Amino acid sequence: MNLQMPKLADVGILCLALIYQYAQAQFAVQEIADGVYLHYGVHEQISIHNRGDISNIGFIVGDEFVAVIDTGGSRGVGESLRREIENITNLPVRYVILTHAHPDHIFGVSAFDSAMTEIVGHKNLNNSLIQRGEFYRDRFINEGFSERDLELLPQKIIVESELKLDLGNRQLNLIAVKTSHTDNDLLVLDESTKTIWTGDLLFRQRVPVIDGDVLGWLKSMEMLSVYDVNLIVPGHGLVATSWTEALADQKRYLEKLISEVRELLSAQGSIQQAVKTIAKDERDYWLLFDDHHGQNVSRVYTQLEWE
Amino acid sequence: MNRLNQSPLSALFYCFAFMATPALAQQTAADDAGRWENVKAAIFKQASIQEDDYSIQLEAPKRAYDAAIVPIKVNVSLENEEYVEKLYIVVDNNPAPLAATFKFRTRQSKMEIQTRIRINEYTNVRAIAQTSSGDYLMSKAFVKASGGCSAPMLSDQEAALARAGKMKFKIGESSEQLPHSSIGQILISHPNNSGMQFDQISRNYIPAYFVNQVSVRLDDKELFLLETNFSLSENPSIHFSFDLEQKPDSVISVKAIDSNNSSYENTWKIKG
Repeated sequence: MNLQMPKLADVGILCLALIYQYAQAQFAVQEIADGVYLHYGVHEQISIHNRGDISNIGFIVGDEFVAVIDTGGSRGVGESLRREIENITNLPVRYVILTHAHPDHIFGVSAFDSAMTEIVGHKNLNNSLIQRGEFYRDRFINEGFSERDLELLPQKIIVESELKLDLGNRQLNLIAVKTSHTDNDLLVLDESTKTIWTGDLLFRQRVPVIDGDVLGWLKSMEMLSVYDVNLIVPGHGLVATSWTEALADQKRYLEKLISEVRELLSAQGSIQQAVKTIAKDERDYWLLFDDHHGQNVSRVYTQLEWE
Repeated sequence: MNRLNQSPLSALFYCFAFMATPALAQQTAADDAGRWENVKAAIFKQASIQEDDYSIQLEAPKRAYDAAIVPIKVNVSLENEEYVEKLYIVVDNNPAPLAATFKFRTRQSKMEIQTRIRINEYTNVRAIAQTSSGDYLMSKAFVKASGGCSAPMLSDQEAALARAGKMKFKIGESSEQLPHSSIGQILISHPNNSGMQFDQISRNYIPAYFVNQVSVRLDDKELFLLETNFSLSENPSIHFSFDLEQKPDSVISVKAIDSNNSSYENTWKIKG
């Protein structure tokens, strides 16, 4: 067995090299509004063959600077995004905005390591990276990613509540949200095209993942609709043109989780019953439902049992 | 994405996926047995432990939805006036395999305990009752889950730290196995941090901070003392069966102590 291992490892390295080349050739961005570019992540679990390219990422070009919004789940994805930027403009990337600390949004950040570039995030982003960075890294390394794929850069600009960034005749408004999907969610509003990047405050098609406060999340969703926007870019799934359209499925899902868990709790139902029975009819609406729904129920249950 | 799946590359993915599996599978079976022998010797010394699914039943999910919150349930039913002195919960492949020891102070021959544990990798979970006649009776279950011990705190970290030590007590529904007993649930708000999360910036581990003792009393007598660690989930939850005496008002009181030596107490009135 030992004698065979080096050969197999070589095959593995060859596989990886080919996968990377192939994936980079396939990487595409589209201009969804004037100067606003989006790359759609795939609706899969993170794996070495999708390079962690599972979330929506992109960039906005001003007269002087570029701002990147999320970087994908590995350095490779970040590099693909950087190459697309270089094909489109010679302007430097001044800001890399991380909408929250989940690995599929942040691990591409090291592709933007430059003296010119500052990492921007919610005031809780850094703490979350401290708490979780190593955990995510271990999980990714188990999936076959390398250390180099997973380097992080220090956060330089902290958004306490709101912050404006100027890209040259183009203002981005960054809004730190109270604990919702996570405790470090950040919104990015491009004022000139009225395009809003919600990060994972909004999931479409792919089932939402609850990693913060489900009640807070619903409140934040109500708050979202005060923003007058033309285009809504979710963290996962297709862009939408109205809040009603964008939020409907997620709102129904979260509200159903909350009301059914509350009902079960008042009937003294157990957490085991909860994961078996709650909101199963939502299965038809969502991709990757079986991968995340049980965990969502378990988290909503352990939050609401304190009410 | 479709194009990617259909390409000749997919064959390569399989070859890659295939590489690791056979070796790992062989390793695991042998490792599991060896691991349990070591754990058993460390905790139970020379004691002989019998598997006895008639007297003791452990329920655990085959595959956990969340490795940081794996609910388990243990029922014990003894005969001939035997009673349970201690109940051990062992998670073979966790960094601290002895997750919990319940030391019972009242004589119960039939009882139920539930809690929620962290699981770090695919593992056997065992419930072992030490009886009044000195027997060790075991029920085990294999659980597929991983990453629970190094898993970060679940949600709002500031809020979690701010409410550490808050407690809640609920009376649950009597279970099928124990129709005449009451079931109580204690919830203790606590990060129950394992100390296994590595801080990239300071190059240090985040200090462990967890509940290690919980004493539960009914009126003037202690029902049980639980000795535990970060193998319990964040915000530890304990369900336990007890017999309510026929008097108008009883009081449940709980005292918990954590690894920083902070202690938290609370009492609740319950109706008889």
